[in-house]
Amino acid sequence: MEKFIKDQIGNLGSVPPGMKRDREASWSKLEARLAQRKRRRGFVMLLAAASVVPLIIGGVILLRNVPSTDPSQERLEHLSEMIMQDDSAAFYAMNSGTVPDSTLYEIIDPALTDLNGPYKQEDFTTGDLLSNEDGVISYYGYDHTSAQKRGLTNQAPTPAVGASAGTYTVTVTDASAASSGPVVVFSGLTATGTSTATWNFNDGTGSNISSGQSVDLVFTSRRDGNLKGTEAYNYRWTGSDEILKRVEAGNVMLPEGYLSSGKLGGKGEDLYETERQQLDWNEPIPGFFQPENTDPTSGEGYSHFIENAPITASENAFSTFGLDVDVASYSNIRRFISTESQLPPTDAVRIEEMINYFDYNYRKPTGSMPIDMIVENGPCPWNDEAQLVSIGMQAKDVDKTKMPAGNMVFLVDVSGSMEESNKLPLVKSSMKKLVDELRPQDRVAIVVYAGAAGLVLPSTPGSDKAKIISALDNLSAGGSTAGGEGIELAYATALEHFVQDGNNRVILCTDGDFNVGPSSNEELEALITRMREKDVFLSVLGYGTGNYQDAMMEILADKGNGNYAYIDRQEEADRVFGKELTGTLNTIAKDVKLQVEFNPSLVKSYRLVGYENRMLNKEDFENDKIDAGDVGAGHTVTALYEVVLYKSGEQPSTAQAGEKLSHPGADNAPGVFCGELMRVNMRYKKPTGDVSSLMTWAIPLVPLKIEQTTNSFRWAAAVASFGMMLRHSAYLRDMDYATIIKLADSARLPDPDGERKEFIQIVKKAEALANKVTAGSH
Amino acid sequence: MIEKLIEMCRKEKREAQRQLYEMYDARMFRVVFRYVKEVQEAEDVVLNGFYKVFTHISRFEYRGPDSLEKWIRRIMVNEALMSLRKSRMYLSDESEADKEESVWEADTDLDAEAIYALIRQLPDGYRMVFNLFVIEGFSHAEIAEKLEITEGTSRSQLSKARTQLKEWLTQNDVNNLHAEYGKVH
Repeated sequence: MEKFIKDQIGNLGSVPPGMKRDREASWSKLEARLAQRKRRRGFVMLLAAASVVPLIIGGVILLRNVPSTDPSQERLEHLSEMIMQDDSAAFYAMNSGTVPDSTLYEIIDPALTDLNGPYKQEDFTTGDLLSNEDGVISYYGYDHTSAQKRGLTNQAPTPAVGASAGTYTVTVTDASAASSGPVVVFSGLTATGTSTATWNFNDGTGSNISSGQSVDLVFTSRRDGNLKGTEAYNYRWTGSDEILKRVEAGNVMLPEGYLSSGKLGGKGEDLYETERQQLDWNEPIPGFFQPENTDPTSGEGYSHFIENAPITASENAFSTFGLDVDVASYSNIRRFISTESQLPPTDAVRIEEMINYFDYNYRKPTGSMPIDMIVENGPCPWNDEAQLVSIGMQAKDVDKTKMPAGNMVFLVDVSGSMEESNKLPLVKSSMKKLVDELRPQDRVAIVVYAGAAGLVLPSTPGSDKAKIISALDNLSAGGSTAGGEGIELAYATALEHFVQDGNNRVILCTDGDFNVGPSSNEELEALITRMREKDVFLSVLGYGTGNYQDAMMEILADKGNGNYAYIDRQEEADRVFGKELTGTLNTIAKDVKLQVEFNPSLVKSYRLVGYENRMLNKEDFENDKIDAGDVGAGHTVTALYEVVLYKSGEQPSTAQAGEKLSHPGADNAPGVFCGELMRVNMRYKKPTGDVSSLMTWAIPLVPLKIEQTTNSFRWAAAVASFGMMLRHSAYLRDMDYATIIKLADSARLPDPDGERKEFIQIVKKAEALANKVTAGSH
Repeated sequence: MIEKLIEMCRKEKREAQRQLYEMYDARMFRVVFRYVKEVQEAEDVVLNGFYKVFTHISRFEYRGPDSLEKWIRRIMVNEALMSLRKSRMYLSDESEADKEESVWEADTDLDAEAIYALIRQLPDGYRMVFNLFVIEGFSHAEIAEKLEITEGTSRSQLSKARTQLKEWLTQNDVNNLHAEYGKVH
């Protein structure tokens, strides 16, 4: 009895039944007290700093006047400290695949004896090694910020794009710094130039490459033969018996022509044909882009993708992806079903964008937290053997009056194809909506492109509404498209009126025929990327039908850290330009990535619903160079996982209660799962920051019955079910339109704008269309 | 993970402190609420406890996954006792030593919430000693020192607490006690 009391009563952790506690209020009080204390202490530290040598890292003063007995240990600690600084010293996981400038990253010796002295750039490029326990990934740190502070040039590796698949020689000049197997993980090659890179290297499976050994890596990419930022790759090296390394399900595909020896970019014969056949590379790999598929009958372009498949947690406990806050897919689907009375092509259906179209009633973040997370766990409506875990993210709201000043340049397509009533006239009326919302500190300019590009409205303050409206009234369609020139002019106008810390943005309004003229798509993407780095972002608003280039639009907005919306009618224009404006055009966190680690002793398999073209490699999570989705003020984003748990007695014998967490990087100290279902790690950057912060949530297993779940949960589940229906998903075990309608109906409120009601009507219409298709095929 | 969190809390990183707070807040409230009867007082104790946790975390030594929780718990229990001492005299120095030490048999289908509520109903002295001895696992000597009473008093309070609890449990109406949390006494 007393043991029962000690164990049970002593470990109660929930709020007592019938009681309400305001934890947020308590935290705010505590936070205020802690903040007060910190201010006082900060003062003392500054005084003390005069007597010792302070190291200044991104505004945090660390006093180090105690000589370390073990410099390498201290260095490691210090490095991990830097990594943990959420707003300070830069950390480069040099596993980004960036081929480094060899002089910069030459592996020099690591022993760092003078921690008190000024940092040398080499200090943190010299084989500093943080190895996580599973021995898969190691990091090299690089004290980027402090180098800059001392007036050195920014020595971050400069990414260049377009390195071809080919064979690269990697020579390890010194592996002596490594205390355990250093690993180079290339998760996408972004650099060109040298064919020789200097790395500490091993294969991730334990065999170190010794000093001076030459390694031939064969990189392959998965899309078009060019390696790009987040592409996966395979490699092999000469002298290794292993066939291929880092072959990761869901990430890798061999390209045509597997390359052999040669210089960088050189092409050779396919040496690995047999191996490739053995590995059955032709099997479709989930989450992976196939070459673009343009439906000849409609002229609309959608990227083909394959639905995410279930992944066995004991094989890969990590699921990593970038957020997608776009909503274009839903309005496009709505247009297909309600306006054109046909079911959309499967590749037009991006389930996460459908889910994220709707507002969810999630708790708002408090304090300095830009995004809060709300997780719910209930039955999976389409698979009775699975649970559905909904991860809801709610971004902070921004007070409209306190929003940063806007410097917006609209780049409007006025080519002949824009003449239709659902295109240019809709652009004009929606922009008038925006003009109403402008404040005096905002500026708007309009650039048009067609035969030639022109500035029809120079950058004008928001107070001069009449001038803006008259310019809008004078817009008319005609001519062919010369988008390249237009976008350059738009960017130039934005830069000319650049507002420091403002919302500097080019907003492209088009039906998708973005003819870049003489320049190639690669150059266009490079331009957008370059401008993004200068904090001028690109948002894309798609209009019209028949000629609509969804794939291209999404890529452009992604590259530009912008949002992408599809405007199919006046109501949607009102929504995007009016209500959604604060969020859509005001990024509060950028490059938001999620890495979920499932507890392999509880979870048998998991499947991420949607986000197929947002999947990242595990190591990309820690790599701040890898671009991901941006979240605007007030946005909600939801991700659903279909999770199959072990039944009792079914657990693998190796699984234990205190399953070790193997999260790399910032969390690379061994942690344990304490019976929770999963850990959700989120990385994000401040809107103009370059270094990401990490937040982690431990998610307990609290499965609710369907009637106990929130409306948000059931709504997201209904929308996902509908999306899977439209995609003819293989994972839809048990679902029909009637069930979707019933589920949606049970979760219909709140619905202030009637969007949920409309969704239900669209499902009903889709059901009728589907029946017609079935009947017609007999 | 938890070590990193501690590390970050030592650096007074607000997000880390928040995370740690969120990890332990509910559980610690439960601990404190076993000692402290009134909701507002319990909330204050938890808050003071966390303030101490964050201002003293540099002295905490990590010794395995449970060590942090144990340490936080100890702080919370101390805070709760201090609060009680401040607010009222809670213990008369009785020295009749009722030596009943028999261990109870486990009843079937015991409802943890109901027992929790019963423990909260115990008179102050009984409750302190019962919590400290049975749940926190302190010895009578330690309790005597903490509460500035004799070991004999500690024993007798425990014995009375046990008798009282058993009596309530046999009355079989434990579930009626659930509603009491919302009330402020």
